[in-house]
Amino acid sequence: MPLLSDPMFGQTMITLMTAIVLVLQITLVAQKSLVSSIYVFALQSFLLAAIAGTIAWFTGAGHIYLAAALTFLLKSLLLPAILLRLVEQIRIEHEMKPLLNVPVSVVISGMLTLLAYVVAEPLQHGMSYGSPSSLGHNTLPVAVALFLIGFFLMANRRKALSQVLALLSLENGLFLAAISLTYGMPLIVELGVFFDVLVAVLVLTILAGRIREAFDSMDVTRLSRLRG
Amino acid sequence: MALAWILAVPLAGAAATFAGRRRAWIELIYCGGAGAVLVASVFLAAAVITGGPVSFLNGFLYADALSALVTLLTAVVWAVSAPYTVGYLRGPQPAASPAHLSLRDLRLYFTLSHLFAFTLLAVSLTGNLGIMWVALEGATLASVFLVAFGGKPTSLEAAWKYAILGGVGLSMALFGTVLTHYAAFEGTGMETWEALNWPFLFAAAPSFNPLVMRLAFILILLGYGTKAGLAPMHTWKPDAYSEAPEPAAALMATAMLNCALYGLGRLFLLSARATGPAMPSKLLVLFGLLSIAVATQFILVQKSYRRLLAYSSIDHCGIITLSLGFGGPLGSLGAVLHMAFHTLAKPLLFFSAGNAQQHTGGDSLRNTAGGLIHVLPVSGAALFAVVLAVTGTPPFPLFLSEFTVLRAGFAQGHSWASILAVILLVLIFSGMFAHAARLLLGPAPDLPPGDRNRWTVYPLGVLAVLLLALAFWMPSALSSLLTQAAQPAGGEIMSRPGSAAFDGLMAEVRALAAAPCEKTPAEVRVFLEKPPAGRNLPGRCWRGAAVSLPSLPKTAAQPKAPAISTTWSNTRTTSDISSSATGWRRISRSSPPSPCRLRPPTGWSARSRTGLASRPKATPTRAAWRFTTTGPMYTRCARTSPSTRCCLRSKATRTSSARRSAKESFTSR
Repeated sequence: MPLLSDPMFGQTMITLMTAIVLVLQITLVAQKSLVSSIYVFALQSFLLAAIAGTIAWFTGAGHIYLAAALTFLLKSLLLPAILLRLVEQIRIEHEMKPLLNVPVSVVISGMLTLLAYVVAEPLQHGMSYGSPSSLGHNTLPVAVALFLIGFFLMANRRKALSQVLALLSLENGLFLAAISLTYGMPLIVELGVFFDVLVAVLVLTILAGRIREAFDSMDVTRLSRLRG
Repeated sequence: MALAWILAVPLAGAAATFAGRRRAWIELIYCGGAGAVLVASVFLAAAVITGGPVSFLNGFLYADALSALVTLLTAVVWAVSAPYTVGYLRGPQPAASPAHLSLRDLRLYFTLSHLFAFTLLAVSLTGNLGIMWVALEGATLASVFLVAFGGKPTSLEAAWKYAILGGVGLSMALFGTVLTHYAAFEGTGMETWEALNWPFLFAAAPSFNPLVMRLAFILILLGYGTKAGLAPMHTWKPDAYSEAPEPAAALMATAMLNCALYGLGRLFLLSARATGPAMPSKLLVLFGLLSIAVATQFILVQKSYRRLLAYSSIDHCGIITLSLGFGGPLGSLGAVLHMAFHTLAKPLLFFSAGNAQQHTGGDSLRNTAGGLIHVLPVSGAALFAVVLAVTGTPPFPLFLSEFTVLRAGFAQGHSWASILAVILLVLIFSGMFAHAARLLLGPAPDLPPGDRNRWTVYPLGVLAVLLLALAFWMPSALSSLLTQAAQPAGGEIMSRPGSAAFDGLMAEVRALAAAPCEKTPAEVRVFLEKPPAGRNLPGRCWRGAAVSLPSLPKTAAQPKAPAISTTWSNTRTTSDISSSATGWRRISRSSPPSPCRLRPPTGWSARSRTGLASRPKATPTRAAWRFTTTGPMYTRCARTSPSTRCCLRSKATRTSSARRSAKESFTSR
């Protein structure tokens, strides 16, 4: 098919998917229900895997295929499954109670996106045409935006599990940044990072479960006994 | 091979512990493993001092003097803490958990400790900055449940804060690593995992984009600084250190702190080479001073001595960072010395405080009856001595290292920072001294005599003897390890612009860039550097920095100087970092491996296959004309072997039609 071998088509597709990833990140900020946040995260990870897959298709590089496949299996299937199972097991209330209300949070996310474009601009300036950044001039700023919004999400959430979710979406931003700068980290490093992410989620969910038992709540703002 | 052994022992130990069925067996494995690692790392350090850096698996594992030192320090702390751990876990446990631990708890604790030690050793033993990040994140994950081991609500709170803050910090460090990889990719064209290997990065750093490296350094500073506990990212530290079992806290306060600072120091060297040392140094001095100041304030008003130890750790982390920031030969020596001495002193502080806490059942500095020295003669005396030691009182060796740090500050023109540091250190001394006196001195309290457990008392003796011995006598092997470890930081790279060493380095780089290509030293082909002015200067070839490669073994078979129509050999050079023919990688990755020995370096067409771009470009990529002699030329195959269809001879042209045909000939092959 001519369309599938046209690099311009690939570039357009990547730009489109990147835009959706950003929108999903802001949806994550606006979302109040924990379960649907997990689904949003799964969809976002799936799109990331698709972006990586598209790049792999047009470059023919095997290790990017592997990274895409791992992202799909790990981040859009396995991790959401683990989180959903935990939500079901400990029957936590689904409302997430952010510290700031939704409209303010969305406005802040918009400003963070703007900041990301400003930060990423000089980085892209020196890039020659043909370097990975020619995948579209939006990939890196969106990656930085995911990263920054992830931080904000982290600070804006009370529930232990939603903080885990914020950490994961922040990691998605890193993956996108690596993909857009250098076609991803070297495979062996990428594998190590995937392993760490998996272990981190396992550790954090176990810990969140124990916090729920000990404090009768997953509200991390209650974790304030240690001071000074 | 010693490299692989050091890492294999704790992994095997973790597996054996997990399968262990008897308490004595698990304890024996723990002590034996720690001892074996200590012996192996002594051998490693000896090998590095005498024979230079060692590497294994193509630089995947790599140890120069600095990593050998950090490994040795980790091994020493682990080996000393192993018997203490055994004794500590046999003693009464803090409230909430049962007085005596079940076998299941013990198995969990020792397995995680083995894994924690494994990840810490991996941080200092891998030569790859990406793997280093993976290992440091692994260390965080392995220690989360060590912090939560007590099972109290406060332990869970501390563990949660530790895990989340550590995760956030390390994600910033990962971003910094991604940017470093990008800078290396952009500067040299390398994109395999070897591009993140330390010797390669260090040699190629002058060709990195300063802007990218600046951003990378800031992110790394925030990330690894969080892990090291630099203020204002230190808030997890008092919680985690006061809730974790004492031996685990001692490992975190020394070995993990060293590992985080080790990563920070490595990246600091890189960005100092790429952007000049001014900006990174200033940031390090700022964060170092801030850490000392924050620690001072909390030490003076502290109510619990477990938390007091954590703030002391923040203080020392600040001193080491400050010393790194001062720079110069003295600054790096001060940092290395302080790291080494602090690593010997801090476990003694933690262990003696742990004995006190276990005996009295509390860690309050306010509700204490005092007079602990009457019931705990050994631990009390050790605590008193080590409080003097960690506050830098002579004759203890930390006085020597702190003095070196301050001298470095004055020598490098940071007088105000040094004066401020002295004032803060004096305040810390008075605070720590007052707390220790309140705890230890006074009439004998109404407690039974303690210090009966040999497991928890003997390690104190070993550490105290080591510390005192080092105050008066430094073995020559150790001193050469320390000076060599300070060298990558103390050489010409760290010198400030304006000093003779710095000017010499710059002159060398400039001379290299101005020389005609034929005179380019052969080994520089590996370490490409951009021309000093402008990126796409025609008539200039890309050339490498042959400077500052003291640790590289000279290659036996020198690759030929880059010139058109010379035969290109695709063989690797012998040095493990060389990753020969940086330009080749890019081509050979997207196309199947060719039996041909010769291929024209048609980087432009290679890019069109790996990149998404299909349009011909106005200017060639660097890969295309990196190896040309007289500017932007396109090369194509001029003669093809009829039998193998391999290219025998390449030809360089400038015309656009030749460019097109070069592309066709490349892609059709």
